[in-house]
Amino acid sequence: MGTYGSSQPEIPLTDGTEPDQIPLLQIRELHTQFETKQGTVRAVDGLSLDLYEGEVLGLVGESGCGKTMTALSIMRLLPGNGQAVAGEINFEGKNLLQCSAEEMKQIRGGRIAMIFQEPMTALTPTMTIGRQISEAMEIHLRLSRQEARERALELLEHVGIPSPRERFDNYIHQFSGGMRQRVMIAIAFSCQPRLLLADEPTTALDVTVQAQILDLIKELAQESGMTALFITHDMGIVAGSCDRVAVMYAGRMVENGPVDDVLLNPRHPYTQGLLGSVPSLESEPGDRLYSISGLPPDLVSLPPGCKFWPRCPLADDRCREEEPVLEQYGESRAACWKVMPLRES
Amino acid sequence: MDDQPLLSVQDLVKHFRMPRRNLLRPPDVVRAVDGVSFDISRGKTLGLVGESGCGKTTTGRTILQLMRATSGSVQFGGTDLCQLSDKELRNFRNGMQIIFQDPYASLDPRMTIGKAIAEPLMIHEISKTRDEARERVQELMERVGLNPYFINRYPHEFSGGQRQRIGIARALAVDPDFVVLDEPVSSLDVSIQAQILNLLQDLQDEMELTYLFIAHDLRVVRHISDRIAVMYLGLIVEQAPGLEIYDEPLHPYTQALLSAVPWTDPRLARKHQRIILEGEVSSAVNPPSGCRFHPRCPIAEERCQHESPALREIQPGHWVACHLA
Amino acid sequence: MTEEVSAQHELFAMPEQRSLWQDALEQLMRNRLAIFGVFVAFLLVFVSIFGPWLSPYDYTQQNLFRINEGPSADHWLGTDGLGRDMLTRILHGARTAFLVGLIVTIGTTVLGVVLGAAGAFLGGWVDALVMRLADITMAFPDILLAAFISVVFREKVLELQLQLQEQYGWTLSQGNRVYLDYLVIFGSLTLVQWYGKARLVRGQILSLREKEFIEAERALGASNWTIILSHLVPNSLGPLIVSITVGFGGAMLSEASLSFLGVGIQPPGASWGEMISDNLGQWRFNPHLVVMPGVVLAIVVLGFNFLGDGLNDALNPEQRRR
Repeated sequence: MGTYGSSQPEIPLTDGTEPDQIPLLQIRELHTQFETKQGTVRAVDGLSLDLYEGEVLGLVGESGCGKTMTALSIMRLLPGNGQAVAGEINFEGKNLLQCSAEEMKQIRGGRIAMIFQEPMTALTPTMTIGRQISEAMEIHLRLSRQEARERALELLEHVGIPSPRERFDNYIHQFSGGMRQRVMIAIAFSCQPRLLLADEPTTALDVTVQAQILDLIKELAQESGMTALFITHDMGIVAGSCDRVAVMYAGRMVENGPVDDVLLNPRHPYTQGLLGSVPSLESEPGDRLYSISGLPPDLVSLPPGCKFWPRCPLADDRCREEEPVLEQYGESRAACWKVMPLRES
Repeated sequence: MDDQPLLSVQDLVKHFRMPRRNLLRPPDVVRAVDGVSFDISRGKTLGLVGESGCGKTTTGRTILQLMRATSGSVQFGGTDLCQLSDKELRNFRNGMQIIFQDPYASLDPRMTIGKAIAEPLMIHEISKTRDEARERVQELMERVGLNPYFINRYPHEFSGGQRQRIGIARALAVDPDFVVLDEPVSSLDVSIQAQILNLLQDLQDEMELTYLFIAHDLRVVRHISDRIAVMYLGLIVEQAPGLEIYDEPLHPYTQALLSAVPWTDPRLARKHQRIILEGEVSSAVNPPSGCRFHPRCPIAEERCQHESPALREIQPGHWVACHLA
Repeated sequence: MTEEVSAQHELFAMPEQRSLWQDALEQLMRNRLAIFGVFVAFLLVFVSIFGPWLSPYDYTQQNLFRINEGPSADHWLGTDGLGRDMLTRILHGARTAFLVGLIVTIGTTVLGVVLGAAGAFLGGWVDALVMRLADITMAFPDILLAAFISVVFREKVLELQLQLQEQYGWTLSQGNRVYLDYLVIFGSLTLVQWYGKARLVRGQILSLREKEFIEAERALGASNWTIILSHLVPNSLGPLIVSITVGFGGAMLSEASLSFLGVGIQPPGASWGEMISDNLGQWRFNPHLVVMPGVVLAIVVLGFNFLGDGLNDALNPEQRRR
C-alpha cells in the first residue's frame, strides 16, 4: 500500500485529521501500564490522539482495548497499580502527566469533567446530591454557599430532574438509573468544563432512557460549545452522537477519521468486523452475522507484528512480523498492511 | 402456524409479596407478570423484549417453574407444568433448559468445567459411566467451540464469551426441546456477541430447538426471532411475526422503543427522528390504572386512563393492546 | 469453521491450569506473615504433644529452695514462686492452649454450622429463635459470660463427678482436677463463642442460595442434596476456614483471660493466663516471670491471626483477577 497520505509533516506528532487547527487535547505516544502478578499489562500502548475544540470524538473498542484507561490517564485517576509510563497529554498548554497533584485537583472537575458508566459508584452515597453539586462549584468557581445552591437548583432543573427543590436533599440511592445519570451530568456540567470525558454513559440504561440521556448530553454540549470524548462500544451511539471516531484495539489506535467515512467505508478489518457483528435494523434477519473469530489478545504477552493478526482473515507473513503504522486513506487513517481498496461512496 | 404448539402459556401471573413495612396495611405486591399468554411452535423462536423491570425475566423463570406462578398455566408438550410437584418437575427438566445472562455468576466457581458439563448428564442418568460422560462432555465442548483440552479448568480461567459457551454446553447436555435464553449476549462484547448468536442459530437448526429469547436489545431480537412479543409492566402490549413489528409497529410503546434504537448508518441516524418518551417506567407495585403505558404515552386519551385495553388481533397474527391502534 | 479458529487461539490466551485450592495455597505461601502463622501453629502442635519429654522437670514439681530465680543453666527461663521450672510450665501451658483452641473450635464450629444452617434452611421461627439467641449471647461481654458460666457450673460438674465416682466408680479426673477445669472451660467458651460461626454460615447460605449458579442447578433438575453437598458446602468452606483459624487464636486468648481472672484453669494446672496472674506479685523484682508467658501467648495468638488473614486473602476469589 502506498503512503500517499504523507502531505503531513514527517514527524508522527499529529494524528493528522485536521492539521490546520491546534487541538484542545493532544495525546502523544501514551503508554499506560499495570503491574500484575502475571506481568506488565500494556493497557494503552503508544496512543496518539487529537481532540479539537467543539467536536465530539467517539473512542470505540471492546472491553480491555484501553479506552477507559485512556480517559483515566487523562484524569490521572488510574488505579493503584497502573501508571502512565511514557508520552504526553497536552491540555491548555500543560502536560497533564507532569502536573502536580494540586494542579490536577483544579483541572479535574473544573476544566475536565468525567461521566462514568455507573453513577452509583462514582457518587458519594452519604452526601445529598445537592451538596455534591454545589460543593464542586464552591471549590472550582469560588461561589458562596448560597450562590452555589441557586446554581445547583438551576442545573438540576436543566438536566430534567422533576421538582429539583425537593430532590436537592435526596441521596443518590433514592434516584432511578436514568435520574442518577442526570445527576452525574449536572455535576459534570456544573463548573463549565472545556472537556467532557463520558465513559459508556448510557450502557447501563434502558434504550428509551438511553435516548433521553444521549439527547441531553448533546444538547448541553452544544449549548456550551463543549468538547467531548465519548467512550463507547456501540457503533450506533457513535453514528448518532459523534463527529469523529477513533477505533482502538489492544491499547493502540487502528483507525480514525470522520464518522461518516469510518462507518460507511471502514478500512481496518477490525472496524469492518465490529460493524458487521452488530445486527442492525437494516440487515436481513436470520443471516449469519459476520463474526471476528477468537478472543482479544492477552495484554501481558502481545503477539509480534500487527496485534490483530491472530483474528484477522487477511493476515499474511508481513502482518505477523511487522507492526503497521497509521496511514492516511482519504479522510481517515488506518493502521493495516491490507487496507481494502477504497469503495467509492 | 403448526397444529400443536410445543409451549403454550395461558394467563401467566406472578406476584411478589414485599416485606411488610406497616403492620396496619396489607403488604405491597409487585405485579411482575400480570397475565401473559403466548404460544411457541416447535423449532421456532419467540423474542420477548422490554426494558428492565417489565417482567420478561420473571416470565422466563416462571415458565421453567424456577419460580412458581401465582396463577395461570404453562402447557409443555401437553403437560401443565404448574400442576406438577417439585419432584415430578425434576424429570421434566431435561426437556427444558435455560441459558443465563451473566456467565460469571451462573457457573459454580469451585467446579471444573468438565464436571459442570457432566453434572446434568449424571443427574438425568444420560451417561451411565464416567468414561461415557467424559466422552460426551468432550463432544459437547467441541460442538460449542471450546477446546476439550481445557476440560479440567475452572470457570475463572475463561473469558465471558467462553463461559457463555460452557453455559450453552451444560444446557444442551440433556438434549432439551425448549431453551429459555435470558439475555444470553447482553453482557458480552460485540464481536463475541456475534459468535454466540451464530452458535445459537446453528444449534437451533441442528437440534431442532425451540427458543424463548429474552432481551432488551431490539437489534439482537430482530436478528434471531420468528415472532416478537413486547412487554411493558408485566403485560404483553404487542405481538407479531418477526419483521412486521419493525416495519409496522402499532403500539406507541413499541414505536418509541424502536425509534430509540441507535442506527449504525450515520446518514440514517441524522435523518432519523426519535420519539423521546417522558419519564421512566412506572412502579410495578401500583401500576397505573387503565392502560399501564398511559402516563408516558404521547397519544394517550381520557379513555386510556380508565379502561385497560385488551389484546386485539389487528392483522392476522399481529396482536396489539391499545385503544388507538 | 470460525469456531475451530477460536479454539486454536484459546491456546494463546489460557494461563496454565491450577485449581482454586492450589491457587489459594500458592497465594498463601507467598504471604510471609501467613508462613509465620503456619510455623507457629506447627510449633504449638509439636510442643503440646511432646512437651513433657522436652524438659527434665515435671510441671508441678516444686523446689522451695530455688524460688523466683532468673534464667540459669538448670532452669533456662528461671523458676516461679514455688520453685517450679518456668520453661516446663510454659511448655505445658502450650498443651492447655492447644487443647482449648482445638476443642472450643470444634465445638463452636459444630454448633455454629448446625444452628446457622438450620436457621437458613428452615427459616421462619427456627431462624428467628437462632438469631435471637445469637443476639442475646452477643449482647453480653464474652469473658464475663464465660466466667459466670464456669463459676456456676464448676461446682455442679464437680458434684456430678463425685456422684459418678461413688455410684459407678467411674472417674474422669483420676484425682486430678485439671481435667475437670478443661471440661468447664471448653463448655463455657463454646457457649459464648458459637454465634460468630452461626451468623457466618447462615449468611453464606442465604447469599449463595440467591446466586445464579444455584438457580442453574435447579434448572438442571439437581436434587436439594446435590445442591447442598456439591455446591453450597464447597463454596462456603473458604470463609468458614478463615473464621475457624482466627477463632482458634481467640479461644486461646479467652482461656488465658479466664485463667488470669482465676476462673479458668486452677493451680497447679499450667496455663499461660494463670501463670501471668500467679507471678504478678513478682512483677517488680522478677518481671520475666510475667513477661515470658505473656510474650508466648501474644506470639501464638498473633500467628493464628496472621494465618487467618493470609487465608482470607488467598481464599477470596473476588479479590483476585477475574
